[in-house]
Amino acid sequence: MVEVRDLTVSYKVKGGTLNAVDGVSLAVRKGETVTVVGESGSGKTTLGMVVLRLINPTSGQVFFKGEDITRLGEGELKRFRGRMQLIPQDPYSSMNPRLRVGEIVSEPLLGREDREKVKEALNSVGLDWAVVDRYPHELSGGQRQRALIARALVSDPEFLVLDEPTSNLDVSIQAQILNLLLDLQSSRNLTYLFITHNMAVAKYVSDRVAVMYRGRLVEIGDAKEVMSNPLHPYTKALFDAVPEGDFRAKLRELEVRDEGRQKGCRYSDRCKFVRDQCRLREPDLLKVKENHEVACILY
Amino acid sequence: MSLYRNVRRDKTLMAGLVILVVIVGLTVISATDLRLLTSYSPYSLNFSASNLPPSAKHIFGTDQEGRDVFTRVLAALPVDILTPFIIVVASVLLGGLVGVVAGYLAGLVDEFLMRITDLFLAFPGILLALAITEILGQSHVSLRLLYSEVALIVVGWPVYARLARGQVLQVKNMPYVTLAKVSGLSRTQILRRHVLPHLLPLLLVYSTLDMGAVILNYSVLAFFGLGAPPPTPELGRMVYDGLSALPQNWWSSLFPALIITIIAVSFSLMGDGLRDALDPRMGERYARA
Repeated sequence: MVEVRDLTVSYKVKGGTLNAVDGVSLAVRKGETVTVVGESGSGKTTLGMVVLRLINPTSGQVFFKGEDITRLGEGELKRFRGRMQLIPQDPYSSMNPRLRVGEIVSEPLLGREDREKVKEALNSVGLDWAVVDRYPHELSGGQRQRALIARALVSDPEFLVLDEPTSNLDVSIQAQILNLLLDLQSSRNLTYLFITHNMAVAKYVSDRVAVMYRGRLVEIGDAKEVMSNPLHPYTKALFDAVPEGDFRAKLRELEVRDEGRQKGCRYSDRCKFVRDQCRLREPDLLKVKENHEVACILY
Repeated sequence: MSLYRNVRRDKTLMAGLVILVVIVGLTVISATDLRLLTSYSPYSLNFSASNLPPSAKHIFGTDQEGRDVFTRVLAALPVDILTPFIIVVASVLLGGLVGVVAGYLAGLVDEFLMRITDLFLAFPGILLALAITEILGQSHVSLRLLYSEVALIVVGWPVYARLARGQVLQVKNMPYVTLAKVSGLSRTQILRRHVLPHLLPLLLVYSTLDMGAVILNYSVLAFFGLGAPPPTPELGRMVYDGLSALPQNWWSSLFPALIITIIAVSFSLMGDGLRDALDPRMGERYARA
């Protein structure tokens, strides 16, 4: 469905370039949910934006349904707009406060007035038709996120990038929204690229999990496999940081120390299992099992 | 209509609006036929009635030449309202255009346009306007009104360019604009749908507030004799002409000055009120109060 090959996005920063995404290859198959997890600054959101062609990659390719869309201009991209949609992180700033909900939800129809489509989309997210005349500030956070999901569905997309869609919501509403997203996925046969830093959410929604660390894909595999048998030291640390028991001590391990760019594995400074070889060369993804790859010298 | 209701409830806006309606009403009548408002002529001299204090016959008194000050104030309104209005509208259009282009296209265009804007902003406004009018006005006295307009536009537009650019930059990076891009809206559509609706109320509010300042600035130019050529009555010029008769004849400069102040203040009140009334979240706030 969607594939990226050897994708790199770099920014110029003081004293050189920073690779927000560094040589990432990843394929999302039709109907599945691939979750990208990682801490802030790991490049997971950037990856999602590149897939949607909102950010141009420095190198590498993006494919949508087998077609290379990496170098398409805004005009040619029109064909793909609406077939890929985005569910944003912050339901507050993602709605223009001057527009009514009806106008917001129908935006992807690009002016083709289609009451039925809007009605159907609102219905499928459990919102009443009456909200179309309301302004965003009259809705609760959960209602806004539902409206934004309806907005994404109205153009009949096949593929959705979900950029931490529940991280700004109350815990009680998070579950509702996640269930809604899963229901919609099965009823409409949608493909999800789900971006999150929340491991509990990742556990709940994923078919496959991709772990990113400082722009690099360090582990990828079937969700069950990765969760039950995390291989990369970073993935282990991430799962250990899920609040249970003595998580405070473990969170310490995850604290970001801003090391300069060094040779070798970029996790080596924080890794408990670091060896001399780690400092020599950055490891590539290695297939450990069917459906489980890891970039670590230990395997 | 919630906007209408907000306007009604906002006392500041109402006060500004009432004063303005009266003044604009007087201006229109004065421009159509001054004799509907007063029996005196603003031009003809009558030295037997010079320097009369305010009374029932001459409520603002008469000046050194015996002209009724109230009549002259009325006759001055069209020039003193219309000129600042033209200046502000032209500044908004020019500055708004520059700002939107700079903010939306970004990059080198932005850099270029903003450096030009800075260049104009760097001069102290009223001094620049005085200089421009003085230099241009020397040669063509009859075109002095036009020159003073040009001068105040030159001074006025950069602020709007800054304002518009800032707002465009802010809105441009909002997540809802990202969503619009994903959905395939073109740049023009995004501009029309998301950017301009945030910009226009801001420009409206700011230009209303600015009207007061421009009226004052124009009066300063007129005070120095750089406005419309005589004998056209003009509030700023009347203040200046009255100075030589102080302190005995205080009314012939005080009343024009007072009217300038009232007009400027009413625009300020209205600008403040409009800012609140145009915020879509205001309905909510009023409902709770």
